[in-house]
Amino acid sequence: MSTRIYNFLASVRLAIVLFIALAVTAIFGTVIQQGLPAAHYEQLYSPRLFSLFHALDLFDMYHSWWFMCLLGLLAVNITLCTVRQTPPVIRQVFPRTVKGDASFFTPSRTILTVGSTGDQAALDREIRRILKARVAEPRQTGEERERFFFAERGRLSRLGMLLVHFSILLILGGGLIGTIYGFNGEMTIIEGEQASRITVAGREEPVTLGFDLRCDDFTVDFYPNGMPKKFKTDLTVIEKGERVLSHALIVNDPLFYRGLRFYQATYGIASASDFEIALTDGRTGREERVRLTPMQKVPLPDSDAFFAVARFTRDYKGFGPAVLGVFITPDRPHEIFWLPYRDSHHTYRAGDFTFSFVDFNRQYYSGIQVTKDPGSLVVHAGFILILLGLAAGIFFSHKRAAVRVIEKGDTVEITVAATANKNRRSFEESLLKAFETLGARTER
Amino acid sequence: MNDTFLVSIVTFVYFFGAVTYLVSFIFGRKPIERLAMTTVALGAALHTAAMGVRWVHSYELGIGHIPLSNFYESLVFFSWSVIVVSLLMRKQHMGGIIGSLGTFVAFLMLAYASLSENVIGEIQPLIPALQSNWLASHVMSSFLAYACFAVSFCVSLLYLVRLTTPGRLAAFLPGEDILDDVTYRMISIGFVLLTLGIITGAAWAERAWGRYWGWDPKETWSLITWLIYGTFLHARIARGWKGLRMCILSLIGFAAVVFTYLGVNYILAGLHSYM
Repeated sequence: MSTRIYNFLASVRLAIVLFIALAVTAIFGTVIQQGLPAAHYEQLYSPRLFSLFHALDLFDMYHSWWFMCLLGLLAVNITLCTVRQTPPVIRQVFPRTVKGDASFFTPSRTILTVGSTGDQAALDREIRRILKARVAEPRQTGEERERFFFAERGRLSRLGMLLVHFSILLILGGGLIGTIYGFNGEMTIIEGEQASRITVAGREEPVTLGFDLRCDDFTVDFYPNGMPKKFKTDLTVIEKGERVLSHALIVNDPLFYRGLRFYQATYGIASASDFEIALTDGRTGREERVRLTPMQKVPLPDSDAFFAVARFTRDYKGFGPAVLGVFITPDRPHEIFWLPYRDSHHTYRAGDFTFSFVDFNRQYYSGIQVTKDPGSLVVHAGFILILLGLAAGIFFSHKRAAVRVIEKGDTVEITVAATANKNRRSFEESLLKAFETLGARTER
Repeated sequence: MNDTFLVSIVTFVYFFGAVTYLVSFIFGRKPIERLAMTTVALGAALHTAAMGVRWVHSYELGIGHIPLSNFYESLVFFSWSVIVVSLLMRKQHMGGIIGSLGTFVAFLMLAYASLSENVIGEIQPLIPALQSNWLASHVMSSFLAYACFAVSFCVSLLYLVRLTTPGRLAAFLPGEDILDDVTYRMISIGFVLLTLGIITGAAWAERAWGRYWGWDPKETWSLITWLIYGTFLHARIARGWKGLRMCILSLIGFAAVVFTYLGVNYILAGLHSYM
């Protein structure tokens, strides 16, 4: 019974079943958006569907117990399969005794038998030449009247598949280490300030870094078409009040420090002041600029009207930063309007004046993602090894060929046998073509 | 010289090449096949030049980057990869038919890139997440893998045609064993390249987004594709499956490739929205 369970757990059949099960179930998580608040799903699905999906953990399915079980079973399957495969592969790759006798010439390997009456020394030279060209330098065994030439190449490539499976275990194991001992948090630092705590999703208490990070400066550049070009935080690491190092943090160039990694994630405006408004007098066409703080009122030139900025917003309907302007005239109600920052399409006309919001002083905050993943190195080792293993296993094959020469009176009988663990047919064909020229074909 | 103009010339060259291949296949004439191959090789050279011109032009615009960053550029490179793979394949006892199919697929991709309104042909600057040395290796290995799978898909289609229409048409086509073997070999190479594509993507994701794997729909679908072709290879190598079952797995695998490439972007939401 236990052998049957073992055989099942170590079988390729189970591997195929698990592959298909993982592929099919993984689709659900791409169709149902993952990890959103429950309210979102309640709105999207009917109550029955919601409770079904909820029971199956489909809203966070890649971390659900059943998906983990599938991955765990795959790990068990690969482990057992590898354990079972290793001894025979090792025996093949590192044989204790290399046989050089007739036992290689099984019917399924034998590809050609020809008879020849030519010069023996020339014949041997030709056999050696062909084997060297198609396989490798041959080794001669046997005796004068019945001699063998053996050639072999790519034996180590048989290790490729073992390496691939071992690497997948490394990647899965590294992932598990990261899930258990790692975290993914975030911190925001306002320009000129420093911080030492990060908030981690799912944890009540913030994590303390044990050192301080200061945001010396934050800059953002845009392309002429308005697309973001570069966000940069000038970071300084401070340990016990001492500056340790500085790093220009940009996307794709994280900071590694004390087992943690810091990434430029987001940014925003922490505070804004000194709003510069351009106002054009429609009667004269003259433009004038005024700098205002919120709730400060300025008189408009040659008029009894006033202008004031009521408040600032970081984002007005997706147009970005904007101020709420107020146009005040003595005998009419106030006009209140939004002026998006540096947007020539959103100027506002009130009375004789046209207003636009051209500049302001701002203080950015930088949103920094902080991760710890002690499994990352293991995973990367797995990445490198799986590529080496695949290259060895797929692009190289273990090829073996042997030629037997038996002297029978005046003639010799030449038999060729060959095998390869990949692409066997074309290997056989290439040998067949080369050896056919040695003599008259007697049998196949 | 404008690169999109060069691409439209290449599109016509490929169409002519595909037709010539087909003619050579139908009449079984080697000289016509050589003409087809020369045409496609010339098209491929021009295609390469077009990508080079675009690359240089992006630097002239001050937003220099390798042309592998948006849908248009990916289609052009995908098409190029399919041509290169099918040119390299011509020794596989396949005659002109696989050349014809491969070239026709490449032609369709270029025609779509040039004509569809969904595809923006202009050179666009790179957003911060794409400004990385991983861009080239990730995109190239992924699309070379896709190209191998596209060619294996074509060969599997031929296999199906051979099985379902016995008689005169079947006699024209390469033997079932050859079709089966070529499918297997293309998928083996594609699988290595796909693994490379996923790994370079993971390494890049760790640098840009702080994690090597996040179950983003594009990532998940690339894994689904990998699992299907993994199933194919296990069934073939360890269990000795052959014939129709392998052919069906190959067709399903390519459906997953197409969904990974297009479906994820058009239907699902995710981080790879720029392609």
